[in-house]
Amino acid sequence: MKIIQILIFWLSLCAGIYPTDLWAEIEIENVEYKIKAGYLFNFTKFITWPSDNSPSFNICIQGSDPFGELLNPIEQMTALGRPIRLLRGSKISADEHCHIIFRHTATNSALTKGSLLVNDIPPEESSKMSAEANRMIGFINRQGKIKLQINTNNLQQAGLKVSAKLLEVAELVGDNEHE
Amino acid sequence: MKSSGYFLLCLLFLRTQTTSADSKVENYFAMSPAELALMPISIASGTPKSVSESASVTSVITAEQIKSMGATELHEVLETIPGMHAGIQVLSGDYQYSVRGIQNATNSELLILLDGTRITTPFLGSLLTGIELSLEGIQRIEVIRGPGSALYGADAFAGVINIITKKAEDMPGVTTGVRLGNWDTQSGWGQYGGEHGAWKVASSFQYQHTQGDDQRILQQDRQSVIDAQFGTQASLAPGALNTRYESIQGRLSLQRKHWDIGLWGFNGINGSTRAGAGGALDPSGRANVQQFVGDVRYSTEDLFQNWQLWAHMSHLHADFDALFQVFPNNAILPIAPDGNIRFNNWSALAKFPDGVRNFLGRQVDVPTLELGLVYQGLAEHLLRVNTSYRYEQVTARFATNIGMGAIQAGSLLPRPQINVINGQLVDLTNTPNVSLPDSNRSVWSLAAQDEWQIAPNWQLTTGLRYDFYSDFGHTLNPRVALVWNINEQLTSKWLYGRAFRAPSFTELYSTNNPLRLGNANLSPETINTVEWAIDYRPVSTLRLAANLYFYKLEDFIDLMPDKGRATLSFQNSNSQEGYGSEFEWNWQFNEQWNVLGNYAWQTAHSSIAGRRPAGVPEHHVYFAAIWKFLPQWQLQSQLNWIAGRGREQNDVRPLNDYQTFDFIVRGKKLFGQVNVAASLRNAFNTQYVELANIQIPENIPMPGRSFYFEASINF
Repeated sequence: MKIIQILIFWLSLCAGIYPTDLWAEIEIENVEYKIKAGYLFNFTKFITWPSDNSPSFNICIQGSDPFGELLNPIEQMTALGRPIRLLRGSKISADEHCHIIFRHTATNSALTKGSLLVNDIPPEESSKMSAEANRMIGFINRQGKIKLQINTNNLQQAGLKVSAKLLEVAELVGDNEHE
Repeated sequence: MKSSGYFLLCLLFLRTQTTSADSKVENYFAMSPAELALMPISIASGTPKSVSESASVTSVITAEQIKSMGATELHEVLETIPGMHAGIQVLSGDYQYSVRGIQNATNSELLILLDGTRITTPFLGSLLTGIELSLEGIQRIEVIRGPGSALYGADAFAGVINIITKKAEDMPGVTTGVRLGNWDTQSGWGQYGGEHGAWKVASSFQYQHTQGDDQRILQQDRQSVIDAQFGTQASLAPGALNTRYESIQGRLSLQRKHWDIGLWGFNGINGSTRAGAGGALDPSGRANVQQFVGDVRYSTEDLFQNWQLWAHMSHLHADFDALFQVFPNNAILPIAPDGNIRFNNWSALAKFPDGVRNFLGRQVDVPTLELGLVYQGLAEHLLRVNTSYRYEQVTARFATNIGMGAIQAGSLLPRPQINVINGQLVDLTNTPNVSLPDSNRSVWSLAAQDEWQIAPNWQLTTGLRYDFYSDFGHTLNPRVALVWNINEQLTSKWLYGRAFRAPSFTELYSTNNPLRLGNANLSPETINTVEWAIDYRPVSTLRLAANLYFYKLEDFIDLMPDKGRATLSFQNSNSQEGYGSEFEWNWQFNEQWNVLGNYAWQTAHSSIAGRRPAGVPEHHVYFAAIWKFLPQWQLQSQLNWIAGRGREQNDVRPLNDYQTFDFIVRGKKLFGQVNVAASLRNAFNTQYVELANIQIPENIPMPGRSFYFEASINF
């Protein structure tokens, strides 16, 4: 009887192991990434963006996507008077201008005019001195709260200007660290 | 019923001011950078931290996971925590929890908090008898396994459970739902969350009712044994356990800058006596229980730079009334010279045409004041100091037709003649023969903790707490935790802590009770625990965690025979050593599939002849697989396997290993607003038992297959 029960249990599990295109969402109940999603939306409001021709405000998630579906409602919002679009993985084409590029794992890449690079900062890189050369805004865990590390020099080089509303909750890194 | 009326009224009033739900679907988008920066990501051990970095071995179960696993009562959630098992409290029949093999006959050895406020009562040191917490209003449940007295004081012994309720941002708008299941199970709930000026308001209520499984049949009960001894036929066995209950639960939360105000109420109506208060089936016994907790918190970082000041004031009030039969109609029982029922040294026989009846009442009041400071001005250090005062008071009411004060044993006809004692209750309240005299004590505490960021990847947490109890004296409890973030993927922790459990008023002061007597000379139980834990996140979709622990528990409080007397009383009897390991996994291996679970192994031995603690599993596996077969639909299948439970010496009642399987289907945000679910619990109708009082010839049969359907709508 026990074997039959275990068999039925596993059959119920295995019934779904086939690919389907119907899947659209990942549910992650994660306060940490809700907070980061909130920050991403605030970046659209509290950063001054150079003009561009894109019909939408594009947020690109490069690499692994820790937000899952909880970032999706941002597409109901607007920025710069345009609808916000989320672009993930293969949907990011070279023709699209990414206003915000989020990378869960930081990689050193060239600065792009008009693009804000945002990434998670792992705990071992939490000291200010370890800030990467081309990092713009990093999410950092300070005693269980998500704070920002901002390199204003790099933002300026990309033509972006940060409002005092963001600087209030940020640690400054790079040449402006002691301003 | 009053509380449900209040919350309905509240709901209707607030509904008129609700803005559209769409704008609140993701409240985080409406928050400013300053608000986001103040939002904690998890509260596990004093200072908010992620689970992997917290200075303790911690599990967090979110509202989403509770829904996904189909749980409707607290014990169903806690059963999924590594190292935790929900058994049956042998005296009350309530669910009782063992953690890492630690439990006590009257007490789970756990501290239970609601939004950080203690809701366990000093009567038993556990939740008030008859409380079945429902789950709709809960946002998450945080469980610390291991000692927590350096932070939380008494009873944070084998672990701490902190139940976090939903706040305004967790349930924007109005939500209502219903659930219907077998055994006449019904539940309905309403929730509101919104902002009114500077205040964030959240209110919720839930009604829950069930007749319980009528197939939980005891073939023999304690009265069956007595019938065999005295040639009577009074027992109601074979018969079903009495497991019906009805409850209303409500919560109101008001939050604004600096302030956090909460009110929680629980009302249990005509609750049941399960296997009977005396181990004899009692289908007509009833218990009514009410508990209220009000608390106010104030905190500010504005007054002094680098200082956070906070104050927390709370009051717990509980009222319990029960009228029940200890033994059924027409029982013939032996009476000792003190008037109590005893099966040795008895001098007379009595027949009880209306049964042995008891009325038990008690009122519990616990006001608490806590004051604290957090200092962040010292580089790489976070210092916390807090002090508290708590007053615990229990007043009891007691009426019975047996025992000292109710009958004059000296006037009974001697054996073998049979006396007749009717069912009229004698009120013994405010007499020396009450079951528990009015009791109170004061508790003072002073605690300090330092979180030192030794290096970017190393954090050392040290803490010390002093508690003074007006009844048994003082105790000092330290803890040390060293957390090393080896790299982004790997965290290692070394933990040491000492904890204590204060003797409950039942253990200290019970009188005139044939089952147990108090002992005012009890010392607190103490435990020393060392742990090593590792948390590995090789990719963002996979988390693995494991730990090893060893503990030594001393001055264990247990019921022991009194020397030279025919009674049992609570005594600091023995010590217990235990060690074990827990392993957890959670893998989102593609967009459709998530598998999670845990395996816990423990072994423990008492200093008395190396005995293993009874009823706690040596092996426990929980495994769940979540299959999202459509964008808004998922199926969760889960297995719970319990093995290797020990028994007392001379206990020959079977206590076999068992496994149960559950299947839960959920549809979320259908048409944008509707959630539905269907659950099949114990799908294969596994017949399994939990350990019963040794005086009952059989262990307690547990619920068979159950199902429910549920729907809710968010406006």
